[in-house]
Amino acid sequence: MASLGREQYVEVVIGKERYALKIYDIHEIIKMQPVTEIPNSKPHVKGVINLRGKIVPIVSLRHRFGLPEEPYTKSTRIVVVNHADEMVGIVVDRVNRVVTFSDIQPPPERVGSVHGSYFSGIGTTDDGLVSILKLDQILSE
Amino acid sequence: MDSSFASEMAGLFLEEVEDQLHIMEQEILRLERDGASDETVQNLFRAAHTLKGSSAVMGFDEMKRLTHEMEHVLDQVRNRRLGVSTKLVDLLFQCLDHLRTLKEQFMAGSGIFVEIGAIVHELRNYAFGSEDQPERPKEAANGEAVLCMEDPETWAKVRNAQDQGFSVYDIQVRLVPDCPMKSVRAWMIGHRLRSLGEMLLTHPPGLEELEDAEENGTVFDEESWPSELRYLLACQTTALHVEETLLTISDVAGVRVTPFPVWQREGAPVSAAAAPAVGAPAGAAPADGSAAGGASGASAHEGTGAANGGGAGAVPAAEKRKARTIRVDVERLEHLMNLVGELVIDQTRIHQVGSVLHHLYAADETVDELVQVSDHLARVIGELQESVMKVRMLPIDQLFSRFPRMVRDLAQSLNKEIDLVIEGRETELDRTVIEEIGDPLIHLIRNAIDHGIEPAEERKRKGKPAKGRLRIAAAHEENQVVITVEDDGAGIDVDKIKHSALRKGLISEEELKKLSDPEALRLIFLPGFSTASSVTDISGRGVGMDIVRAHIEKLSGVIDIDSRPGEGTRFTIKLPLTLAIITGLLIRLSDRMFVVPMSSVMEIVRVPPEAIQTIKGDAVVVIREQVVPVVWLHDVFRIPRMRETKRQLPIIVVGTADKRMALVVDELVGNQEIVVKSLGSYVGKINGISGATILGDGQVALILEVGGIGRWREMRAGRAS
Amino acid sequence: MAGNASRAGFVKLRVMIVDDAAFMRMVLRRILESAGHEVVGEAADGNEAVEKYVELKPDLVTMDITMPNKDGIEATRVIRAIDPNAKILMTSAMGQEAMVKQAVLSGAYDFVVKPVDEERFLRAVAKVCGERIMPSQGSGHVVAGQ
Repeated sequence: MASLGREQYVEVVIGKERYALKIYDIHEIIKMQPVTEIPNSKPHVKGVINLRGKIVPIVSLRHRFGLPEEPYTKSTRIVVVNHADEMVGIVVDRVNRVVTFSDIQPPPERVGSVHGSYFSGIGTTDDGLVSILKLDQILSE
Repeated sequence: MDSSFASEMAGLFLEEVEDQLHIMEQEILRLERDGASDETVQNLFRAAHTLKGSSAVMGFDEMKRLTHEMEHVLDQVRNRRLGVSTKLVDLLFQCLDHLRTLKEQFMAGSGIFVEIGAIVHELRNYAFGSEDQPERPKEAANGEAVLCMEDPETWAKVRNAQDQGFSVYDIQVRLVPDCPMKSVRAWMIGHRLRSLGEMLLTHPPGLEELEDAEENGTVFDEESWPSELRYLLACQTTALHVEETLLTISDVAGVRVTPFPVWQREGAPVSAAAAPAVGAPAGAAPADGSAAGGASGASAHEGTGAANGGGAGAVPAAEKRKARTIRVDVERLEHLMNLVGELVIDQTRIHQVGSVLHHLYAADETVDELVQVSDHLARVIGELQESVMKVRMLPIDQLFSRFPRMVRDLAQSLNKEIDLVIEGRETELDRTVIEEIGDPLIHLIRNAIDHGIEPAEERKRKGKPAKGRLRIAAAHEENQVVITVEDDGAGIDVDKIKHSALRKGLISEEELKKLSDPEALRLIFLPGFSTASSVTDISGRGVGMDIVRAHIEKLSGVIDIDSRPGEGTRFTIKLPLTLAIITGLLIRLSDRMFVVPMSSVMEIVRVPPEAIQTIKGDAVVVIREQVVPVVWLHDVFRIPRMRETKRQLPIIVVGTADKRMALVVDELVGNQEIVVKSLGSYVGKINGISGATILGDGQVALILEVGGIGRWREMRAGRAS
Repeated sequence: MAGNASRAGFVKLRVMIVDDAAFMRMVLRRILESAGHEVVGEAADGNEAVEKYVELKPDLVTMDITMPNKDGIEATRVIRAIDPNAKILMTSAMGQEAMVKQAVLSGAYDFVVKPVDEERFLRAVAKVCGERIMPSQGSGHVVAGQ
């Protein structure tokens, strides 16, 4: 819990890896809900949900990262982020905690099997390294 | 207090109320007839006093308050400090009516809805006419000398707000004596109130300036900060709600919310009273930036919109009330639309339930009543829907005003001389339609200037005026908006079109022969078509007319073309007035729900599966001796077809007169009003889907766009052949 | 609304106390616990407040304004961003009017001034979580000064 007055992130889990998102980008975190598929949409867009009367698109990072899809569990969450004046929901396997990094290094070419351009850096925490997601890149195209 | 005792007490109370009201009525009549007499006044005073006591014991606050005020006035009269006038008699009769209603509501037991603030206020003001400073209840604030009556500007603001349907409340707040940080507390109260409506006045005056001063870091004197605060607020909620909102703030000792009465006061400043409302000319208040989509202001006419929650509302001065418009936050309109949409959905369901009940219990009176109420509801909601939709409408001038500059620039860079005529600027459209129709119109304009209108030299040779005339017009026609883009240029050569289509393999010789000239013109809407010999820089950006048409069809509109070689070309676009709420046909494909806009549905049939035949690889069905191509919607959306063995297949016939399609679905669920929601720009445009809606059970259902399905079919058919 | 009603009219709340002074935290804990509420956690600075909020999800947070490593205003803003329904009650020393205002603008529901008057504090706690309390002339006694 070393907090040195730096930016805070929310740590999430997808597959076996831990990733982080800036708290400021996050609008809200909700439990998994039924997603209405949109046929012929971009492949990583799983569909849309009804968030208190608003239609919010849901994106699968697993698909983005080329990982196989897994069934949802009780810990699966949707992290709703702000992206270009709209809200987009990102499915994650689990939300761990709020974290700050004692050090952040630039990302390598590849992070695991995923291309480095999806990350803005690698953060150091007490119990290991966490890859910081670059939302613009992940959500664009 | 156990319930039997309570009801016994209530019974006794009600009896007593009835008695006292009876006495009051007799005495007031006597007062009116015979004038004031000690006995009459005393009897009235005693009646009010008795009621005050018993209603206090019963915890009946509203009655207690009213009778307390009555008692006070009558006391003044009794002590000769106030005289009896016709006004007083009127007031007393009004009080009596209020008391009767209070009693009835108390008996009914479902809540007290009578607003007594107004009559209380009147009573107080009447009593104020007496010489002494009347004894005021403890919560009264200082400066009761009603501020706004002296200040014409505030008076005008109040009147203006009330005219627009807002309630104006006189709010007095007393802070606890040892309240720490009074200034912040006062600021918090002001802040909370501003979230409810528009602040018209604060007392002590300058609370707002002090708030601004704070922003600049000025420190002010805590010692001199008053404990009695007073506000005039215009809002659309109840006094009770305002009161409750303030009671949730710490250090508030007392709150009193009194509706500011709506009546013509004698002695009101002449300038305010005399200002008549000047009707709003259409399009008087331009909206800003909505075309660019991110701005938060839109003006609405007729004051049916919601108030702007921040204190920035435009309340014009009394003397110059020109346009009766207010600025409305777009999000609030959306919210309003959503609410209306939900009302519409629920009303439809009530109607359905009513029908079912009616079938089951045809003779039941209560069911009849339900059906009647449901019908009335439908009418009212229909009107509400219309009104709200009108609120969302904006003059198309917002879009048209961009054109002169654009045309001028284009004309210059293409070396053409253009005379631009714009008609129907004030024609109103729904915001969403205006946002979407811009691109197609710009395409048409660019085409007209680039390809339609000839260079000045050529025009002169042809005997035409050197300046080409480009006319853009908008008008209402029944339930639609008709937009025309017309030029007096070279026109379109039908033969050239036919040859081009032939050459590009878009159509066969035989089919070509069957086409009339108008039909041939419409070939330009086919994908892959362009008569421009070179794609110029200006209009080269996907100038395809097929894209223009697709865009317009997505708005549930149609586009047609008329052209005469040498004379000019005219495009006519017809659009529905609003996209926000439509009647939809709810269908099921496998386990998913979809909506087909009723406007696209021509008819609904059921056919046995064998009726679907294959001709040259295309599935078709014969409906009333006409061959209609068949599309399984499952295929369009790649949904697995469930192996439901059905004797009859539900089929929806969609399209226009010349282009029909039969859509096969799994089940027709019903039709209802739905609120159209966009999928958002992240998802983008999906072929065949125009949006989504949220059903009554919270499920999201996608809305089909028939044009896209048609194009899907054409592409598929093209590939097959 | 969260919390359990253990006796008629009283709703037990799960509260998190945020203040950089351990003594202050102790005092508030005592007040809350003797009133029947449950103190589920404490934090000594804004960062810890945010972290613990996500972990504990309390019904109410009492938040001091001036703290190191992210002050109460910032922490309020962040917590409200994560959970728009978060209920935050600011505790402020005298003389910090402008900051209290900032805190309310950042999403705090209400504020109490230190030294904390026990009854006033408990009333504010109840009000923040939605109970309607009729104003009374209660004269509480000062519990702790700072």
